[in-house]
Amino acid sequence: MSSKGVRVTVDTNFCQGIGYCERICPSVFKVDKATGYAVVLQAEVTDAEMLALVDQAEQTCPTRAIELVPIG
Amino acid sequence: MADQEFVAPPYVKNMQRVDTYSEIDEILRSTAFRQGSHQESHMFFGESLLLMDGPGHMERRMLFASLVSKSAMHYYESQALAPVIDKVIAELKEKGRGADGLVRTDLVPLIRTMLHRITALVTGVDKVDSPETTERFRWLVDRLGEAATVEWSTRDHEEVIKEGLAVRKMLIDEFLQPSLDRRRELVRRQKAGEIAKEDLPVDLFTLLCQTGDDARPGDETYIWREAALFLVASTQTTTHTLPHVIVHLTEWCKTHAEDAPKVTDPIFLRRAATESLRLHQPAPTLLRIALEDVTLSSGRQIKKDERVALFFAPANRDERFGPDPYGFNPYRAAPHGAQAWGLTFGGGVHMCIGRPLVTGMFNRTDDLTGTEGTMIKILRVLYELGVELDPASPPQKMAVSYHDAYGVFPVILRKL
Ligand code: HEM
Ligand code: SF4
Repeated sequence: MSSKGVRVTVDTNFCQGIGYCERICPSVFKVDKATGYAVVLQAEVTDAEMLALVDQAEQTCPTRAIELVPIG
Repeated sequence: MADQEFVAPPYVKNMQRVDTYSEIDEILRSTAFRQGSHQESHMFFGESLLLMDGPGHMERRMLFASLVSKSAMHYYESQALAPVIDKVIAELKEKGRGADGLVRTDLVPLIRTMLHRITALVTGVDKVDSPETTERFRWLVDRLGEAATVEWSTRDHEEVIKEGLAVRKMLIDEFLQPSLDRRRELVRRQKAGEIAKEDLPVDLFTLLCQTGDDARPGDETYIWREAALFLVASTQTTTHTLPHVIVHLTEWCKTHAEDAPKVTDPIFLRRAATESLRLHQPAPTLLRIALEDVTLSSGRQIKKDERVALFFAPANRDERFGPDPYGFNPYRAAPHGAQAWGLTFGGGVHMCIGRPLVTGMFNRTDDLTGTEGTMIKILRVLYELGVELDPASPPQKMAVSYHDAYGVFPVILRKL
């Protein structure tokens, strides 16, 4: 993972709205009840603690819908 | 053929049958249903991740996520699968050839043997290293799998369960208990500051020892049931589904000769494996129980406490998968709003935790650091060795169960 952080996106072609991401990192992910997909509340994450959480969310997501692209 | 594939096993004959894609998808994602599978085989999988519901399941699932982390998957594939494949092939070579100079083998035990070390690593089982212990472990896990899916057995169910309990005892005595004891000691030493946390193995037993769930008061067999889930889920599924790819590709290449040279190309193989997974699932159906009276978007009504049978085979042949959904086509366009393999890895909270291990990590950014996937890697090696069906001995479907799987799959490895 880049030290400068990551850009976070959720691919709605894959997301099932299961909500593991929200459970792990609620300040970055929230499942939108209306669409049934997770939305990203914070598009760029740089804080080390938060990076660990988005990384955990990415790995836990059963559909692998979360994409983390290193910044810089 | 289609009718034959969708035959409902007797176990579910009195249940409401759901077989459209959208209805199954809705049920799997809905919080108005709970897990309904493995009731008869509860003594093998009960209280395991698969049979948990609600917040408890989510906590567990997050705990177990490290078993299939990216780094774990790289490790499994390069350190556990690749060397084992090499070893298995070398042993086959040594075993000798037929009078015609060709190497023949049965793919069913071969795939299980190839996967055994990953299975052992994920669960935390030691001493599966010599040919004798490997063969013993493979056999025990295979038999445990039969009992843990007794719902689909064509044999006398009581008999299968009795055998399964005996097999589990042997598996515990010979492999699981000593492995668990070693991990308990490692975790004790780590907690005492004698070893670093990073030096602990990453496996199911270690995780359960770390969380103190290796010995549940009043439920001493819990840990063996969780282990059984991981042991069976990681081998039986791939063993059931992989041979279908070879059958489909054999047929496909007869009419698409231009694709014959592509059978060693991982990208083509991934497409073929994905398409085959759409058509064949490792279990005949998944079951769910309604927590309340439910009316699905389709208008179908399901009563509170009713158990419904979800038939993936017809659902995965839905028109959303494009023209000729019953046919095999490795070039099938990706469907909108669905995975290319359809519902084969399930959906909702219980969606398969091992999927990236099987099909590889290749999406988007993973391309740079991706893994091939156990299924694609095994297929590629087999095709490099010139795998083909043995015309003298056609594959035979499993006789002992309603699984859409082969019991015997004789092949020739022409280039070995
Ligand atoms: C072709 C290969 C595989 C297929 C088609 C497959 C399919 C599935 C399906 C359909 C489910 C959901 C069951 C349900 O909702 O009732 C599932 C769950 C599960 N699978 Fe797989 N699986 C495969 C390989 C694996 C592997 C290699 C592992 C090893 C780690 C694994 C471990 C699990 C576990 C532990 C669950 C329970 C997850 C939960 O309940 O949260 N599977 N699998
Ligand atoms: S964990 Fe994955 S599938 Fe579930 S809501 Fe989050 S992004 Fe979507």
